[in-house]
Amino acid sequence: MSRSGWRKRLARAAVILPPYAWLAAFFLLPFVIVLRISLSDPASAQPPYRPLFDWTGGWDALMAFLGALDLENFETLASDSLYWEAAISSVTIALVSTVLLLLIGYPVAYGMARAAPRLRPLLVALVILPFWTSFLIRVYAWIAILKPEGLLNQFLLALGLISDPLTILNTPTAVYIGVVYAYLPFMILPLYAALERLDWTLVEAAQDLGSPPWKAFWTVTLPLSLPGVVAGSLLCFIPIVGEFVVPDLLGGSDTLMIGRTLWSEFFSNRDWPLASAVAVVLLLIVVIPIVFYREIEARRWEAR
Amino acid sequence: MNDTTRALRPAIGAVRRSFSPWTDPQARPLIRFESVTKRFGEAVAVEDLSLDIFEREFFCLLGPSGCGKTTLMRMLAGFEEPTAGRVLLAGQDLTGVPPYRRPVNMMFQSYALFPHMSVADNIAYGLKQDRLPRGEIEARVEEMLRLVQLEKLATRRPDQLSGGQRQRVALARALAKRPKVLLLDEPLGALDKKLREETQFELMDLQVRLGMTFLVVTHDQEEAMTMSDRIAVMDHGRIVQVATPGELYEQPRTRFVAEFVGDINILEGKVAGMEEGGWRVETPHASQALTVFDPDEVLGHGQPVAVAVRPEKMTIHRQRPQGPNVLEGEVWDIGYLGDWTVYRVHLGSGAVVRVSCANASRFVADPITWDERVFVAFAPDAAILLSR
Repeated sequence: MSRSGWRKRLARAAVILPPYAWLAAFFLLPFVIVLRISLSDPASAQPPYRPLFDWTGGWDALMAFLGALDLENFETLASDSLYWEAAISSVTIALVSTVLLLLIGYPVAYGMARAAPRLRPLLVALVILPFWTSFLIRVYAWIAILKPEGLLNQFLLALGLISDPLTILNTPTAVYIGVVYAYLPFMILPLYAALERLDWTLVEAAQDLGSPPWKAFWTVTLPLSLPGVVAGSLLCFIPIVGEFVVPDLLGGSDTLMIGRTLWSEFFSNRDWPLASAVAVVLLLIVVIPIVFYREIEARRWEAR
Repeated sequence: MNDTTRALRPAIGAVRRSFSPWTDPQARPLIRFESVTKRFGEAVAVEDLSLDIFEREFFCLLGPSGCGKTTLMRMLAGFEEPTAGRVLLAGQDLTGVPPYRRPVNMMFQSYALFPHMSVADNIAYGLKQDRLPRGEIEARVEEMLRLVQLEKLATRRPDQLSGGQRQRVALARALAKRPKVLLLDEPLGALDKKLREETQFELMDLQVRLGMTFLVVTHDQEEAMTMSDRIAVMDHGRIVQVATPGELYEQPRTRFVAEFVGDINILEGKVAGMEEGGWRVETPHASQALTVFDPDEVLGHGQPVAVAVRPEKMTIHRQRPQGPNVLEGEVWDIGYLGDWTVYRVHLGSGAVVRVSCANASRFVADPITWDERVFVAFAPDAAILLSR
């Protein structure tokens, strides 16, 4: 190979390397550490797990270390119904919330995309506006709204619609309200991006060819905005599965979510190995839809 | 173009020559715009416009951009409702009828093909909305693909087609439902020149073969002249003249039409009287008054008027020719176009006239050249008088 060829390779490596190095340092390495802890046993010590790796012990120590690792924690997770229920409940809440987000977000994004062009940047700014306030503070605000003597109940009582305050706080309903509120921008923005690009003469063409408006929507607008629907759904579904803050602050003790389970294993029970196992399982749950999405994307590119 | 269309040619010519329902007082129009006005806020797109279009006509709406021609077509398609007046199709008032219930189909300027459907699915779309049986849909799609010669591309997606192929798919899709009227919005605008000329003739063949009424919107006068039975020239939301291509070119009613359709020389002047059936017009561009035979115009003495002459109806000479209507000037520029040579002659008055001469022979011994002193002449019946 010539000198300039080597140089080119080197330059290419220099460009490609930083992102990989970043991923390795801040994603892969932490994940390996979590995985290793998940295979360990808990201990009343510092750090609170065994075995520890003895760097000076050489080959025998390494074999002893590897021999002490086992899948016991994952067996515990599989055999205890609490963890199953937490996982299923998390996925259910994430699925239901994603559907609710779609039902609310799609009409909003559609309205934004059909608004006068000079209004659109303002509408986008309004959707993003809540990010200017801390997420935590916004969730706390919901406590003030939803609690028995909160704003919502006062309002409904004043209107005479109800005679006794509703119990919303610390119920699954409150979790749904909080989650849908918190993730709505993540649903609206990709949908808006897809709909704003849409050529509306296609909808006119569909109507010209005999489709009533609803059918033109169903056969043209919706299929063409599908990439936005998929992107928005993943952007919401994935973080909602592991959501911790909203169920912790708004949900009652009966709202089981895997993020909360993880937290209590880690901080209340100080069982780092089991908490790490939960984290690994959570990652697997979340990876499945991403793989699925990549598959769809790849097929779409092939179709071109 | 395939053999069947070529074989049909002579017959088509015969049909075209004898076709003029607009001269028949008994004929009922298929489309009627009845004092239609369309306003968008303050802006008036179409103003108090009435127009009749007959069955099997190839009708063109011609005008510069913003003249209201597209709005007029969209009112027939149902995408816009008139602010006042009404649109009738086969005697039926279309007011309040939504686009999906109107028996007209449109070929969009951008083609508006559905990018997520194959060519065959695009063509079948309208038929599926009519809930036709499956076999019939398939047969009709097949027929349409054959009509536009795209049988081999049925499974392709629009983004895998060339511009010309996309245009054919759009045409097939709009024709598939056999509409009473086919609307074509700038149908050839996105094609290159050569393809555009071919497609013009294909559209004409197709229209006669299918016995359909075509309404075309275009800003290209050549396109309109080639294809249409009649043309409506529009300007500022009004129709200026409705006529056959021949009438439009030889008897334009206003200066706007004369200048928009084809090339024309305008010589401003004043009516000086009538002599032997011809109008005498005094103009600063000629030393003697010009004589024009134009029986259609009724003019008063001293009235300002324009003498309009097409470049090909003027002749260029080295020696002053005998007869009336001679202008004197200097050759300013010569454009050789192969079939024609266009001379731009600078008159003593400062005006420039264009004279085009057919290049009938291959060699000219002593051609007229730049800066030469020349005389430009035209016959009294070659010119038109325009007072508007």
